[in-house]
Amino acid sequence: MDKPVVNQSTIRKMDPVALLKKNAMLIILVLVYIFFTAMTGGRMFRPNSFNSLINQNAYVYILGCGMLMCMLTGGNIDLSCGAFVCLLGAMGGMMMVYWRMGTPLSIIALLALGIAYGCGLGALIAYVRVPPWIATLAGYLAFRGLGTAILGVSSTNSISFRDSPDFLNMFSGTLFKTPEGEMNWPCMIVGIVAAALVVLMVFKTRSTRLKKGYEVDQLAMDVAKSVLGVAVILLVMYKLALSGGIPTVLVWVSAVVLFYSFITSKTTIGRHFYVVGGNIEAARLSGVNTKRVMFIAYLNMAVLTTIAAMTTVTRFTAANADAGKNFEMDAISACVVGGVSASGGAGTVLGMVIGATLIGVINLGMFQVNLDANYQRVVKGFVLLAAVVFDILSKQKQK
Amino acid sequence: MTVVAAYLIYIAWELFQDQNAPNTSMPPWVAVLFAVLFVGAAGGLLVMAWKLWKKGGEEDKEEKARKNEENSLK
Repeated sequence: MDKPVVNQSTIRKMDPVALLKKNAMLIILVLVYIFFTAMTGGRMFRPNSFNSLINQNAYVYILGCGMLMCMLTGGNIDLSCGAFVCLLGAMGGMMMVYWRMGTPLSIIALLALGIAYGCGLGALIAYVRVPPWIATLAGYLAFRGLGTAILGVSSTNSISFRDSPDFLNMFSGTLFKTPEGEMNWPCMIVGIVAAALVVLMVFKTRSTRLKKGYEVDQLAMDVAKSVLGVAVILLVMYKLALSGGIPTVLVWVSAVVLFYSFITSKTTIGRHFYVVGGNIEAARLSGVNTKRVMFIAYLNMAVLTTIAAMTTVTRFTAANADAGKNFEMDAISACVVGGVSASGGAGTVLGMVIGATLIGVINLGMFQVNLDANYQRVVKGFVLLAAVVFDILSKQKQK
Repeated sequence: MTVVAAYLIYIAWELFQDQNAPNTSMPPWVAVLFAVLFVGAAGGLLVMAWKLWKKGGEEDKEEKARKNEENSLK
């Protein structure tokens, strides 16, 4: 096997200021977490808090991936995803509970509905050139009303899924369940394997880049990244192991996040999203089918909304008219806080995950300290405003 | 920017609606103050967004004029 060629010029010098700027959100996340852990007397560090964080924010991670793809194309958003979750929940309830279609057929029908909506929305935005915020605003206004009308068949305006255990177990519950407080060894083994894969990936990437003569970070940086990754994974999996096992929804979230991480960083179609958002005219002149990229962004968002809808209704074991409320704003906030540019062309899945986790930690922390609902709104507003101002100032400094 | 501005206005509206709610510990004048702050911030973001959009429009016009000039020279 050939030894990697290492030239001095291929090793990136470590700039502490640039490092701090690049990892600002991660540092803020750690500080906020420590702050709330101290404020709650350690309750944030308990196993069930980790479980709650994942279960309560699963929809943000899933929708955040879709919103990221839309925002990459030029700061475009989807305002209809929350209301679409309500409609899909209502339709799912009708199919499974009233029409007795069975779980597999109902899931296929819901996915077909999501794909149909995504195709229609994508065509409207990409080919008819309706501005995305107008096209999706129509959905925002219409779908909740439609969902509420469908749920009107029940006197309580909600449909329970308690008689569909297959559906509930597919998207909620726990894998390899054990009593709380007892060590769940399958969960720990999954954590150890995941941690080992992270280390392998970091050093494989380094080795590949060195062979090709690309610039790499100093070895200490890669070691630090690996240690941090391993520590976070093992801590989270240890806490989940003590809280009863791996939440089923974590499997879905991990699959979605890893898939989109791969798409955005390793595939041509993923790069096309960045190019379209960076300069749409240059992308078009370079041979990128910009209309197709826009179409795929909104089709993709609709499919992810369908998955998020299924995780949401199974979490509450019922479809109700309030399902999906403010989901679109949570997804947009996760992207903006995670460093996705409001004008498109920049942003990563990892950034969105950090943004979503930060917002989740802030929400959970405020809930655990019993902060008044009005103060919670103020905090959310300031966090979003700070993220947008940070984005604007960064762009101005670049210019 | 426009969407963030709209969300800030929505938060301001919720604060204003809840200022006299019985189960809140936030004094009404604080709720109104924060609401006004958020509306002001939203206004600032909307002005910035409008300036960027206007600048983009002017750049498009300059680009078109340059292309027309090049075409007429050919």
